[in-house]
Amino acid sequence: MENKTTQSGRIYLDCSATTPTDPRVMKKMCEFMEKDFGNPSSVHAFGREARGKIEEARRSIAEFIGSDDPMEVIFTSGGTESDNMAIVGVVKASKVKKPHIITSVIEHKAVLSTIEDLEKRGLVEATYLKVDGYGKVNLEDLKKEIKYNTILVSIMYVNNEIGTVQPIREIGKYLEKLNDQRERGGFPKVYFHTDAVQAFQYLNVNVKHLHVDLMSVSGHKFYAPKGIGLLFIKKGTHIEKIQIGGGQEFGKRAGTENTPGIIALSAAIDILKKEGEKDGERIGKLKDKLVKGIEKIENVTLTGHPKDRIPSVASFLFHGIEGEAILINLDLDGIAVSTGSACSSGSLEASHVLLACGYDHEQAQGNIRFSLGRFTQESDIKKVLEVLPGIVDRLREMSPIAN
Amino acid sequence: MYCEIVTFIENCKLRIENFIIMSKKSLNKKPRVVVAMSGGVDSCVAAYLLKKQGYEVIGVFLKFWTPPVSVCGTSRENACCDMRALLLARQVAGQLDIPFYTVNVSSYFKKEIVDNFVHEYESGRTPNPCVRCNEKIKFGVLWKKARALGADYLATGHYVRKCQMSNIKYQKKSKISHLSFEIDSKFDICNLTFSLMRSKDVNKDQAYFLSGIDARIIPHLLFPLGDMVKKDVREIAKKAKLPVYNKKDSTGICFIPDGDTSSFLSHYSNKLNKSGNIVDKNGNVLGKHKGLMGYTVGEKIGGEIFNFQFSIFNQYSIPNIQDQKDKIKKDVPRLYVIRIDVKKNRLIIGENEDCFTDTLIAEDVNIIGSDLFTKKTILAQIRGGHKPERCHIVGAGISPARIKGRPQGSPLRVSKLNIKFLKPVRAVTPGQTVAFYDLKGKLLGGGIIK
Repeated sequence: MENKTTQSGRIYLDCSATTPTDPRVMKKMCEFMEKDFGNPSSVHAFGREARGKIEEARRSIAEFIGSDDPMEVIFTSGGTESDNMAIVGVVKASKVKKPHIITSVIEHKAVLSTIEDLEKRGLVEATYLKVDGYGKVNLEDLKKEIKYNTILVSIMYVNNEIGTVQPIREIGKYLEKLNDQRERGGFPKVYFHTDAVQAFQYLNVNVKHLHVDLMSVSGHKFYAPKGIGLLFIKKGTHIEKIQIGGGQEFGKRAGTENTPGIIALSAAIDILKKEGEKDGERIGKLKDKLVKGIEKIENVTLTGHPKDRIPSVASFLFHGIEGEAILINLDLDGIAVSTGSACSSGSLEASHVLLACGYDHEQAQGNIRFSLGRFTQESDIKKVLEVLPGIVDRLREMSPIAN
Repeated sequence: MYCEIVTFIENCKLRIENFIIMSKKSLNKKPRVVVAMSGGVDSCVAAYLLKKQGYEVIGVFLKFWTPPVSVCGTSRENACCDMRALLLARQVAGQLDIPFYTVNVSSYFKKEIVDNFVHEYESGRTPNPCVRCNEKIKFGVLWKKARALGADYLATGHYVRKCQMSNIKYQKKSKISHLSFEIDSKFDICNLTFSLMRSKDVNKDQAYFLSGIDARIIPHLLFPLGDMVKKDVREIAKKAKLPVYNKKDSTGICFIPDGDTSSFLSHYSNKLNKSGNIVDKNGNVLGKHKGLMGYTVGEKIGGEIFNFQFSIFNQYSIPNIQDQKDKIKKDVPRLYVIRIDVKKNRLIIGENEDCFTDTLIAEDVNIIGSDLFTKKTILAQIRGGHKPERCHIVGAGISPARIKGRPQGSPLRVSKLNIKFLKPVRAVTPGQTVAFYDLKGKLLGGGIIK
């Protein structure tokens, strides 16, 4: 298979941002687009064929995430839409006068900003759970925050910046038990949403195992194209649609289905079924090699949890230098990584995730995230370890003429 | 002793760096240059030319500070770095196939440029934020960033030329002939090998705006447009199919997009919004001002006094005028601000000849050309559009504390220069920058008018 990430000698280590589309996925998608362009809502043969294909995809995906009912899988445009739909949809459907939502301070902006927006409009109350130094949410903290009007808990499965895995199953089990009691007491149900965008290809995403009611997934994080994702909505969940129009997706999400995207998503998941585990192991080993090599550089901290983390992400703090400077230098050498504290993205603030882990502004400035993927080669890691120490040394030693 | 060692080390560093640049050239490795790209035609053409000349070019867009929409009253963002400019710069970078990055300097810009701007007005002075921005941001922060990227050079689209300095060796404790103060050899201006020269396009020349930058980085600067005129630059952009070829020149202060300085100031300061008297130079009250914000020395004064005591016009020997308002307006001598007295909250006005003076005190003078003190007659430019006038340095102060305690790597400065012009000049404005040139237009330094 062609190594797409090292095209023209470049090395791509930013798989948490997005992954290259797998050629096998692309092939399936193109074949589909050539033949089955029909609108799945159409009555005629073209429509019927497209409908058949996407419902087959839905069934296969539902099976992968451990759902008995394909109708629990709603296709969306990606992670952000899924998160928005889960939060706003549950709030809209709730009969509670001013509902309460619990989330964590390290969530993705798609969750945080949505909840903050609802809060600003006075539609909900919100509690933002703190995390420990590894970026992990504590179940005991969560228990204390649940109130009579709490209707939703939204905690991400894996943090995108540091790769720490959250105790989703524990929270899910606890909330399930709690909901039994609340039902008897006449309290509203507490729904549990998890943003599984970063976890999907590496961890157990069986919704029964996790005991979640809602789960967001994004295709382009696991070798499907951008613009396709899904929201798992457990049967019986009171949720209203936020995109209004036709009756597609069982009335839960209006708009003609992104049929090629759905086919691609299902193809990408088919590959995960077969190769996911093996991939994870291989990537984990490469990442360990990278971590070992980088830790030889002085004054470097690996962020995140020592054990509860996904195999692909290694995020470091290079003390005393700006992560942005490292990033640009690596880019000029053809190596693509990212920093949580990107000035270039327009926000000068240091990453909210690293600050929440207890690092100060200056430390957080020196952040660089390496995220590996299916197409990462050992030679890529070697090249990084060749180039990086020199860059770090140069930046540290640099004493500008003009101070 | 310490200073000498520091100087020595700095010299060594410079030489080593130059050596590295030279050896890179000889190894056929392209020298790396960071170009400050604002999305305007000048900086885009600068990047284009450097790329053509064979440099490894990296484009950097500086995101400055912008007032919130509620302040400037329009939805326009900071005129020179709004989203459209960013997109244009990025598009051109893509077209030239060069790496392009955005550096957000907004909080530093706010602190160093905008806050200083407001503070200067509060002190009754008229600052020049562009000079300060060049010193602190473009040739300060950005130079640091460029070095972090391993760049050999920093380039901008300024209309100014880089030139070699005549190699003057100051003797230890040399006495400058016509001045009665001594220059210490520790004062390492003799190491300045490069200076800047006014551009070929006299109308666009921007040397004045660079008079505050640290002279020691000049060897690392490139100004591809210094030998060109604006028309040619646009022509090049057009030929190269750069989408910015017909973009309007930016004018005014970038963080006051609507140009309304006094409304901007009144939003960010409440110190000078009390109304007070307008007086003549003898203290006679002529009218009322609504607050001293936004007045500038030399500025014409109009309506403020017409609606006030008409009798005051008698002192300008105007006949009795009660019934001939229109005629007065025509006959009244034009009046101008000659001083802003913040302490007494007074605006002092006078006639045009009162605006003229032949002396000037420059403070916190940055030295760029090593022969600032050796030339008898030099030129001084006292504001952006001003034609430089001949003058002498008649006195200088180097506060000893400043030099002894000068931290390593700080720019070369003297605390004060007394200037005497050969002919009186109009509207010497406190707070504005004065730039010094030799008679050929070589930039020697610049300071702030006291």
